[in-house]
Amino acid sequence: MVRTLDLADWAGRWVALDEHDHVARDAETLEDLMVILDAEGVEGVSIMRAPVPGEPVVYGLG
Amino acid sequence: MRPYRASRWCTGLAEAWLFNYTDFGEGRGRSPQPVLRAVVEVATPLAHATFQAVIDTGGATNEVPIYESTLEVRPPSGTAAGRPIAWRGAVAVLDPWPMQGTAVLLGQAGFLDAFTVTFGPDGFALEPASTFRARFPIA
Repeated sequence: MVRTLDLADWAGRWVALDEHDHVARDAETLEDLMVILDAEGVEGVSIMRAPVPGEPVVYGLG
Repeated sequence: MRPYRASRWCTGLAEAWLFNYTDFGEGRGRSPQPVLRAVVEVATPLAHATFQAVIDTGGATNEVPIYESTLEVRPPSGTAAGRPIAWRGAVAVLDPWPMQGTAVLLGQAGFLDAFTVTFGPDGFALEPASTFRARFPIA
C-alpha cells in the first residue's frame, strides 16, 4: 500500500490535511496557515508544504 | 538556549509501528516506480495539529539555530497502535523553509537516537532505538 497525496492544485502552498488527506485549509505561508487554524479552531489536521510536481521534496539538507 | 544534547529517550513503543510509504507526486524519472517517502506525523506534546515529517538521514551541514525540544510521533493512521511516542532531542530551525514540500525532516541526530527505522519494499517500521543493538549486537 502506498499513500498518495495529490496536492498539485496547492503546489508551493502550505496545507492542512484532514484525517482523509483532504486539504482542509491552505495559505501562502506557514504563519498565515497557523493563524487561520487558530482563528477557526481547526484541530486534528496535519501540516505540510505542498510540493511542486516534478521537483524533489527533499534535497541537500538533513 | 540549553546546550545541545542528543536525544536519549522514548517510551511506550512496545511493538513495531508499520507505516505505508507516501507518494508526494514527485514523479518517477527513469525509475519504474514513483519516488516514495517515509513520512510520519510529529507534533509538540498536546498540540492540536501535527506536521508531516520525512525520515531522511542524508543532507548537508548548515549554520542554523539548534533547540532542544520534546516531540511526539503519532501512530500510523487507521490503526489501534496506541498513543503518541515522545522523544527529546535537537531541533534545527530553517527559516525560510527551503524545501519544495513537507515541514519537518527527521534525521540522524535526534530521531535515530530514539528510534530504529526499518525500510522494507512496501513499507517501513518504527521501533525503539535499543532494538537495533538487540538484533545486531556488537561482537
